[in-house]
Amino acid sequence: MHNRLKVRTTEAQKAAADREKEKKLQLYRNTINDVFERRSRNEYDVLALKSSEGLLRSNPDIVTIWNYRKEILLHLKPSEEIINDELYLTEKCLQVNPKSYSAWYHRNWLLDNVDPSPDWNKELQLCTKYLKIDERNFHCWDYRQIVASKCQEPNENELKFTMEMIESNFSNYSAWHYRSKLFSAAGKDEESTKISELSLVESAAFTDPSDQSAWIYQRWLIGKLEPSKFIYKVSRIKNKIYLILNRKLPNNYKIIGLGETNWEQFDSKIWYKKLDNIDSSKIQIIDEVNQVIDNLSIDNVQQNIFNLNISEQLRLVLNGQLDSLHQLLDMEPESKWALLTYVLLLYTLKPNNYFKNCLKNIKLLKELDSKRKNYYHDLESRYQIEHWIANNNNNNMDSVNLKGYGLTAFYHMHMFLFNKNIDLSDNDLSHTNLNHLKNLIMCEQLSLKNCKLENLDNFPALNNLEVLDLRENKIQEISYKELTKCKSLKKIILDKKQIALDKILECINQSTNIEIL
Amino acid sequence: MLQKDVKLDNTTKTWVLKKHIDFLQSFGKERHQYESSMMEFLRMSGMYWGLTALYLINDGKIPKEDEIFEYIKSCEHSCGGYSPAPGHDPHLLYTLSAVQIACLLNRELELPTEKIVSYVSKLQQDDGSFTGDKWGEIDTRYSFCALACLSLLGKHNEINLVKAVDFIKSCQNFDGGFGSRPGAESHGGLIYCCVGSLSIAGRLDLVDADTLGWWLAERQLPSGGLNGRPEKLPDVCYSWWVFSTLNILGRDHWIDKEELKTFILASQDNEGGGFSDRPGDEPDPFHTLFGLAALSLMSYDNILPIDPTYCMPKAVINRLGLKPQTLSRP
Ligand SMILES: [Zn+2]
Repeated sequence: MHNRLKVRTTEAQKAAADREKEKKLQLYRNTINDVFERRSRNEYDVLALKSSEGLLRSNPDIVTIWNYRKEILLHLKPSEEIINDELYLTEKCLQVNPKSYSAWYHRNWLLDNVDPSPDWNKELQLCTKYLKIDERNFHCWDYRQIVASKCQEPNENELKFTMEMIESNFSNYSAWHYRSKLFSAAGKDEESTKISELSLVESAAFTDPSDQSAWIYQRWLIGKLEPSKFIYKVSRIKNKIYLILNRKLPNNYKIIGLGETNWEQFDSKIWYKKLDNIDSSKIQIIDEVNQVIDNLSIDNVQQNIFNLNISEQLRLVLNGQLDSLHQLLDMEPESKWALLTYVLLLYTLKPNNYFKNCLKNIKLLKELDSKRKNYYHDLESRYQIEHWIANNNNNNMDSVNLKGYGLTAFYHMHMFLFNKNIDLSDNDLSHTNLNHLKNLIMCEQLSLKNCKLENLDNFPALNNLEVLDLRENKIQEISYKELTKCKSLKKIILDKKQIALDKILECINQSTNIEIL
Repeated sequence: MLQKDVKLDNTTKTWVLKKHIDFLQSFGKERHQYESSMMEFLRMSGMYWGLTALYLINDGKIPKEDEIFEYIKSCEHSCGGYSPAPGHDPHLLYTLSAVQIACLLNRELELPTEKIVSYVSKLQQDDGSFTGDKWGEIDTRYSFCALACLSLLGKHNEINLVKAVDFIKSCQNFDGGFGSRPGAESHGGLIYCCVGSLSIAGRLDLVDADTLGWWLAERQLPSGGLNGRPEKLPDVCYSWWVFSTLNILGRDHWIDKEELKTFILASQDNEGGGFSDRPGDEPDPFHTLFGLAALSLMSYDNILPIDPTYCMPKAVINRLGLKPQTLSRP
């Protein structure tokens, strides 16, 4: 089904090809019928093995034929010679179709279940040989992992092998992938590994800036850095304490403090509990060995919530990379991968003026890589929102002003849980899902003015919402029905262009007024 | 290094709906006897591809329904599994295809549900993974087969769902994607299987949607086509595996849909109908389904809507009362 070029043929050529096909078909039918008949007669001998060899060599994907061979082999208690013949057959079949799942598996099964003394080291060499011929065959890479664990090949040797493959061609994503696995399994000193991998990846990426393999790997290395903090804010609302996190807690982390009762989840990043016997005002997050990861007291906000945990040594290396990327971009200003990595590094390291610089380069990326422009729009939205939060998170602020930031996506809306007055006007929310507003549970006034909205689908039940500004949108009248869920809604603000006011009135609660501005 | 891709003509190919219908209806007839026999070892899946494709562009009409159902019955085994063709061994791949076809025909209640459930659940291993048949090959494709097959029959609680999800999670990679087994490289087709399984299980919270969504968006090449892994050629079947996953994750706007449409349309066979893996190759039902299904997700022409998780008509999934999870846009 793959890679079969359609060729134009004359009538005569077609007739000849048809005759050829007819002959092949007849042969195929005779052979497979013969094999099936032998199987139904319970023939488990060498002759039966021989009978299906030709069939598999021309079509290695007929699983049932492999199954019959497995039955025969289990029955025969075969000699070394027969086992070697069988291994040879799978090799021949893999030459016909290197992606044959069943041929790969038959080989694996044979060594596991029939061969009394499987030579896994020889298998490893075979994998090496195959990968030198077909360097991205994922069947072979996957099989290699099984083999390497069978012969207990040290991780160091496998890392060396991936290095050889990468040195002969940097564009070997499979090898980069395997490195990521080998490092995770080794649990090696993260910091020094990261630093040495970063320098390896730098030389690869610079050798061929248009090859994505090394860049993706680098993005992972940078992306593995996480903020040191988890807790953004702790606040009291009526008889409940709410805890807002900047990301999901790892599985074995726990929240403690403020009495014995357990913290409950509102969603993965919002936790709460009823106020009872408070034993302290401190809330802590502890890891699996009870080490305190983060802590905060009630009615407090964490500064620098998005700052990453980077050691001095690593910072030095990353700053060096930022400089070299700058140079690369001087020479090749249109290198998309260099530009994207530059933006990611700027955002990670946050040097002076980084934010303006990020935005400028994201704009360039939208033009250079227009297929993915919406990705860059959403990335920019996330950066804008994070930047606003980082620069405006003081305690007593009721208002959020994200007016005119060009937002196309909602990120971190849960961080606005306590805010009463939220302005999201002059953004492009036409394709977003309004359900993301569901965490604005304390919001009383919300502006979605001029947000290119065409409907209010999935608008959440915001119980404290009193005033909603919807001017300068083209919202279908019928979708105002969604707003009946907001029980405290007193006022909807619309503009004069809004026709069919009577239809809107039919859709909303009687207690809600419409104000035209 | 030159980027691996294909070059398209500047003209957009015309949409040859009628020819696609003819192409799909001709299977099982004289014209394709050779291909059909040589592909006997996967015929049940071949029928699912062809019939689903036909359903999408032929107003939901499938010809010779009784004959098709008889064929499914002829592939039924006493263990509860189905084989691709009579005489062949049962396998999870073809058990799913048989159930999918029965659902298309609105005759799934006539299948021996209990036996199928017993067959599928016995293939689950201690670590939550599934083998394809009794010979023990483990692959995340089979996790998807098991979850899809049982949920179509309303029986996915009959396996250990928690462990099934754990196994899929253990196949997650640094790029946010998934491979066939723990440690295996990310691959568009296997990512679809894993994300699809999590969608059925309602556990898409385990996916890092931004990381994976970006990696998938990077599968789009200058030609507009999608590949399945970095530095590989585009292929119409990845228009489905990659694009439907982006759709499930609420991030299909991260690629250029117009250019993807152009690539898929360029892979039509404008003479005999059908779609091939890429422009200029021989068409087949496999790529015809995945080309049409991707076009359906982009609401092209009057192709009937498809469900991104099951790769089956939305109307059928709705009739069965299934609501596979999807994520919303960020
Ligand atoms: Zn393909």
